[in-house]
Amino acid sequence: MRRDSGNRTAVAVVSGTSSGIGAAVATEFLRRGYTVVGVSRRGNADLKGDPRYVDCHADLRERDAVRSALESVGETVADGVAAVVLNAGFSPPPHALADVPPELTVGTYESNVLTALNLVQATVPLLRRNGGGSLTFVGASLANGYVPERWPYAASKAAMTTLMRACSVEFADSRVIANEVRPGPVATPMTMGETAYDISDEILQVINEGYGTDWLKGPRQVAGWIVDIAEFPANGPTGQVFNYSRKVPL
Amino acid sequence: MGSKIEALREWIRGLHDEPVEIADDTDLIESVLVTSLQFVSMVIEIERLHGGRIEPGVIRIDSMRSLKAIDAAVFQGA
Repeated sequence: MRRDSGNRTAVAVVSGTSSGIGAAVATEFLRRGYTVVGVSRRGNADLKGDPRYVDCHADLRERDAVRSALESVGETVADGVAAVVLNAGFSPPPHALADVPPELTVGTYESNVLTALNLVQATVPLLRRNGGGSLTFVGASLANGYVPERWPYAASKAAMTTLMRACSVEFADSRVIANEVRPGPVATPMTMGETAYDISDEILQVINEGYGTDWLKGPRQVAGWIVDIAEFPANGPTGQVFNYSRKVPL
Repeated sequence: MGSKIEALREWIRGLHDEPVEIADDTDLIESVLVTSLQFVSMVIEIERLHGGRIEPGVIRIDSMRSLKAIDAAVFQGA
């Protein structure tokens, strides 16, 4: 079991755990001995079988729903939370900038920024109760803004970066660090459809070699990096963007 | 070419709205007849036609580039 400073089992909160990167991050925390509170709309039936996984259903766009969900697992987080990974998000298909519907822009912002803000506000008291901890945001290299047809997604991820940096300053005195991982292309159900669940390293290698893809990788590999960064100590790096994309400038 | 590779040829044609010519040695990757996002689905279709998982080490760039290469590596190699 992973222990916190008070020799209690460390607790991590992860959003968007129903599939993809979020599910992989929850699995990696469990592997490292944490108790994991997974927050998602659909839940995760596979992870639910693990006694150290708490499946928490909530629409993260709704502030009160997030708070209620965490209150419902009060016993699990009674001694605080050591790490929070803000992963939930939505990636709309490419759209010509001149014709981007306003509702797509607003919806993407809500799904990627509001969800993160709601989770930050709901979990910072729990991180403080732990005596400090980490906020780790799952960002995107597209946030640099150089792909116009992905602008709604890029803009929301850029806003998430500013939220991360604001957190790194605002909560520094509480020994809460905030960082962002930009994993680059990842084979998840969101990017490649449901077939991505069982993608092997062999297939990833063929895609990278054959199509010159920018280092397409699997959720498990990315989850390892995210949890490594989520485990930075309270006096470790904060306000930083960790970029795992080879061909996209920050 | 056997029926499995003909079935795969039809499956790839089905990815396109317009009719496409797919020769036995057409480079499926360079021609983007199969995109990177469709590649995983193609492997799953090959496994379905093959009747089981492809053995480790068989999925390599050179064994997946053309119908001819897939036939030799997977369907005839079984």
